[in-house]
Amino acid sequence: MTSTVQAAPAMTGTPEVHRGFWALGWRRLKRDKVAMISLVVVGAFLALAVAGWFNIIGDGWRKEVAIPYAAPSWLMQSAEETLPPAEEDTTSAKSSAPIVTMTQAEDPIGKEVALARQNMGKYASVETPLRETLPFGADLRGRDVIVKTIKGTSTSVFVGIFGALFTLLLGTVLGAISGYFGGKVDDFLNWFYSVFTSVPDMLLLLSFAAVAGRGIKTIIIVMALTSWTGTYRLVRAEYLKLKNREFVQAASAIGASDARRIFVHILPNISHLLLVQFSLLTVSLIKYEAILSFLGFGVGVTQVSLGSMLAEAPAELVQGVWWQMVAVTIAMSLLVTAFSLLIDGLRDAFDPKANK
Amino acid sequence: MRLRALALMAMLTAACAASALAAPDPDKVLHSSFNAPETGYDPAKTSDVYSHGVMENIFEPLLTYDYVARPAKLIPLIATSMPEISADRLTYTFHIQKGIYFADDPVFKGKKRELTAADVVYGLKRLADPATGSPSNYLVLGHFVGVDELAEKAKNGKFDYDAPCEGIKALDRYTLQLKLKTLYPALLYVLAMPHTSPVSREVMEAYGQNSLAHPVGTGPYILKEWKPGVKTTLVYNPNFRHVVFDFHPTPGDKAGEEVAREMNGKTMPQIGRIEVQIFTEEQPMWLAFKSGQLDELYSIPQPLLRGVLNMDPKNPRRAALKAEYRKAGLKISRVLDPEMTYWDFNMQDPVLGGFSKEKIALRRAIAMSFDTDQTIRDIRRNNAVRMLYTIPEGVVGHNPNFRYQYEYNRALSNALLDQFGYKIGPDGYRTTPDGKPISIDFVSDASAVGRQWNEYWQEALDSIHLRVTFRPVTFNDLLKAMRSCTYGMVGAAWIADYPDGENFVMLNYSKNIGAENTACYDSPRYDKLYLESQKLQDSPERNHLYDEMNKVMMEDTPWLPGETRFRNRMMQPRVLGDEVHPIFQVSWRFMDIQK
Repeated sequence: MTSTVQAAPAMTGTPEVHRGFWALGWRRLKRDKVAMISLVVVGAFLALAVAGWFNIIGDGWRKEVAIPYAAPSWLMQSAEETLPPAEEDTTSAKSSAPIVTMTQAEDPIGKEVALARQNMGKYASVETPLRETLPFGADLRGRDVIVKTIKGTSTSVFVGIFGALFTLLLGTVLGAISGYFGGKVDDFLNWFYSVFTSVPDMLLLLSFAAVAGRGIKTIIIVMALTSWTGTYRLVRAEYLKLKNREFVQAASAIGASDARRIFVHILPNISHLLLVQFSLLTVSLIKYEAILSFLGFGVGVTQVSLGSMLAEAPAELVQGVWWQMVAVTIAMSLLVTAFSLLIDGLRDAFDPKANK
Repeated sequence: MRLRALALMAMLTAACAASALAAPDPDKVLHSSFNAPETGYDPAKTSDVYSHGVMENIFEPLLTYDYVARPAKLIPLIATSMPEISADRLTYTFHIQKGIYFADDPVFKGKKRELTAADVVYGLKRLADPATGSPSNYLVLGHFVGVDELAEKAKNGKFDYDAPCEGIKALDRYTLQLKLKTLYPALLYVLAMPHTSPVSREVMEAYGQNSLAHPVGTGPYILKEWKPGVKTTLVYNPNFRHVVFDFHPTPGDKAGEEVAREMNGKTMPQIGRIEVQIFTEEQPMWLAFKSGQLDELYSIPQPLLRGVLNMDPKNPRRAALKAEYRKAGLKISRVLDPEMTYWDFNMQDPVLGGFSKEKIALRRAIAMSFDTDQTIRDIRRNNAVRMLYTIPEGVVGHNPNFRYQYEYNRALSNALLDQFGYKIGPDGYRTTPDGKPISIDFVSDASAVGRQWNEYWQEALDSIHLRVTFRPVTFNDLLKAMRSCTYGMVGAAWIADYPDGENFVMLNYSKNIGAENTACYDSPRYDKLYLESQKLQDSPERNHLYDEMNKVMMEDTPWLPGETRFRNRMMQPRVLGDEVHPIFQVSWRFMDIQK
């Protein structure tokens, strides 16, 4: 019996280049012009932010370089009204009595002060003259609004990105555990979730912030603690859906542990969702940070963020000092708009089935 | 405003007229504003300036102040004259005017209720009653014979208002006698505060816990409507006696002369109805005033000052309305408030407190690193002058020639800290002489303005290499921290209850720790001088003691003095007779308005 070995079917045409999910997504994204422009803008902001974190730019934002509320140089200044010259001050004549004050002999540390006075030379500082105008004006303390905005944007982006990362981490881990194991664990975490979502977001955020104090780190933690619920719900649903799929059962058949199945087998399959979620969170956390700082719960005195700059705006606007608010508005709206458009593009590209 | 020669005695000529009371025109309505909500209108239960302002028009204490005399000067109100005072200054006898009637109220069942000495007694004892829970009980407790014992007994039951009490008693229907345990130089001022006004016992017992909403007094106005925190409406009291304005300002006092010209010969009150609105936001208040919806603006909001006023950058006392507003006929009354702001160092704080030389040096270095002139210019918009004495201008006992001031010199601050061994560590911050890290617990107001102050302080403390942590809290928590001495540094302010130095020097008396002594300053030297000054009336001897007390404080450095602010009340052109009084919160009862 002769038999011939069946030849393998011949390949026809050029071989199809294997394209992964991410490469396909990227190709879809590249076709979207709006998304690409947004990507460039967001990229520029990120570069700015990173430069800000490492104090490459915006480091000197606390330096007082101009007079308080120095106007933008390109603004036409109207002449200030002035008071008529002072009349002869008749009241000062009566203060001919000698001035009374604590004398050096009476001062318990008088001798030491006198000694210190001889040694104060090494702390002498050079006064730099303050400028009358700046390219985009100055704030109350005479700080350059442009430098301040750059540093503020950097802080806001930092808070947004790291806040989103932590939120995502918390939401994903809890969602994965909940969805994958189900049962009592799921019930418990669901109860937890319900408690958190029963309180309005902003109230929850404010109450956490009121307890936690100030500073960038606390803001990030507070935001992660309050914003994880959306991601949790999404991830839990995905795990519920995916855990009984064939590839997971196959993994379990070859003896993969629960942890391996959760993180190695299922997680990559929802990573595109997480990317979109991450971008969404970043935008909303940048906004939350602005609100928190505006209400006085935000960054500390040595830091500046877009929100803390906005908090100064109401008092400035009634006096006609608009430049700081305009600078923040431009930075903030550009960033948030670009980011949002990018998210739209990302969702179209990586999650085509998503119902917008 | 400077201390001037005493003004001529200006009095409201009060005559009891049985008939032909000239009622004010009910169509004359004054729209006024406050910038924070009031608590209510029971003289014993409230202590905020806004409730105070409304109550000035409803209740009448024994004494009051002349409206135009500067500095503020006491005159009798429901008393026929100033009291007869015994030689040992421990017994005061007042005669109450006959024919003063309370405003009508359902409690009086349609009968007219005359004011008697017993009502004054009741009003005073009520402050001591623990059931009232009065924040002003310190005005009465500890001063009058027999009152503390009554209050003590009432802790486990009811306050016995009928029990005989030697300290506060009515000798007859129109005569009141007050007997003191010890000297009480501020007593006459206290008897001009709305808190000590007579109230009717029937009314207070009928309304009980609801007394905040049912003020019944003898003053020119009655409460018509009250929406807490939103709006208060007053209408004139038809039972109010016949009073004709007759002001005699000091010659040369232009504002006072204008008041006299506009008001003399008219009867009190002229305005039939007063509507007070609360604006917690500055901008809407300003816009309402600018558009003419408000006749009177309580004060120009701080951020607007430079836009509304033309100020002399070198002399904060010189300011005028900008041409735009002057042309519209708007008027302004601008005076220095009898107040001061200061920075407290907590004298019980482990980092900053204490009387050792090195701790004094630490506080002194901090004081010398802060540029008060800069914050007056930037934050206060030049609407303030430096506080250079612990008693502000316009208050009896102020010394314009004293300089309670530490020079602003950061280099010297640094050198002084070096001198005492506060070494700069590798992290750039100083440590204590024995090498422990320093961190100043700075409690501040959690508002945008609070943050501004923090920025200036951060910069100052950075310049002398001291680490600071800011703790922004709400106003109530701020007060709590100050009263319980649980902070390192804090900003404080004090406005006169009455224009006497006693009201200010008591801020540092050690027995007042836990209350007004927010620096928690406990100095035997200061206490001794204070107790001596308590025995004296206004005199060169007392002024000398005040100077000594200022020096003691300057040496120990529990305070860094701040500033005294101006109050800027604005009015529409149709408002007449309106002038800021240093003690009165509002001037409504002395004013008129053109329809």
